[in-house]
Amino acid sequence: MNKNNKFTGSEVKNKFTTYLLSSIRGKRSYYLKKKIRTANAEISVDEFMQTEMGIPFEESLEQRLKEELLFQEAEGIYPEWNELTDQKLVRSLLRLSEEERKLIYQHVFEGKTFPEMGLMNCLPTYRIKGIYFYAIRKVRKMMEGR
Amino acid sequence: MNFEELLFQAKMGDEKATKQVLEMYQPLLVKNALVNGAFDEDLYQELLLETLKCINNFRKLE
Repeated sequence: MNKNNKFTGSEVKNKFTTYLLSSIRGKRSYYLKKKIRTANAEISVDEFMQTEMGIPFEESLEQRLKEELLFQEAEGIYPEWNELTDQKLVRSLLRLSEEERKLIYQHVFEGKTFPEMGLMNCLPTYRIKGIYFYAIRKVRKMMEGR
Repeated sequence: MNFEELLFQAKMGDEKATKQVLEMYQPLLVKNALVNGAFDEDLYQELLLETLKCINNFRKLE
């Protein structure tokens, strides 16, 4: 700019700089996004070997299943009775009465406390506790037979 | 030589002119190649390539 507020620099240079700057910014953000995506998708070899080789395969599978269950629970999805893998346990659970099964389900899978369950089922807390522990004892007795 | 001529020559494939343009914009490229305060060599190379592309693609609008 000179005294009369007139532009004296190179117009082409300004335009080129603007053009260059915008495309460089675009490239930069693309590069960074790509880098973050790659970093998230990568698993380090050490970690992989540890999970695969350190413990037997069946155990790791079991652990993974348990983790999946926990994740689902955190999102509010609870497993169904018929999804349980232990057949013996399922059979003994099915021999319980409807009410006992409902209470076990609420306490074990949905993680409700006894007072909450009492409110939900219109029963006093001590009754809920009694029914629950009696049912658990029954299941234990039935499970011992295996 | 003014910038317009220089850019035109670079566009025509003159190595010297291209080098000069790149040198002119080096500070800007280095500044944009910083990631969290550290200089990223790969990003710098990408930006250099982008600059060469820009030199080729730039057209003066009449």
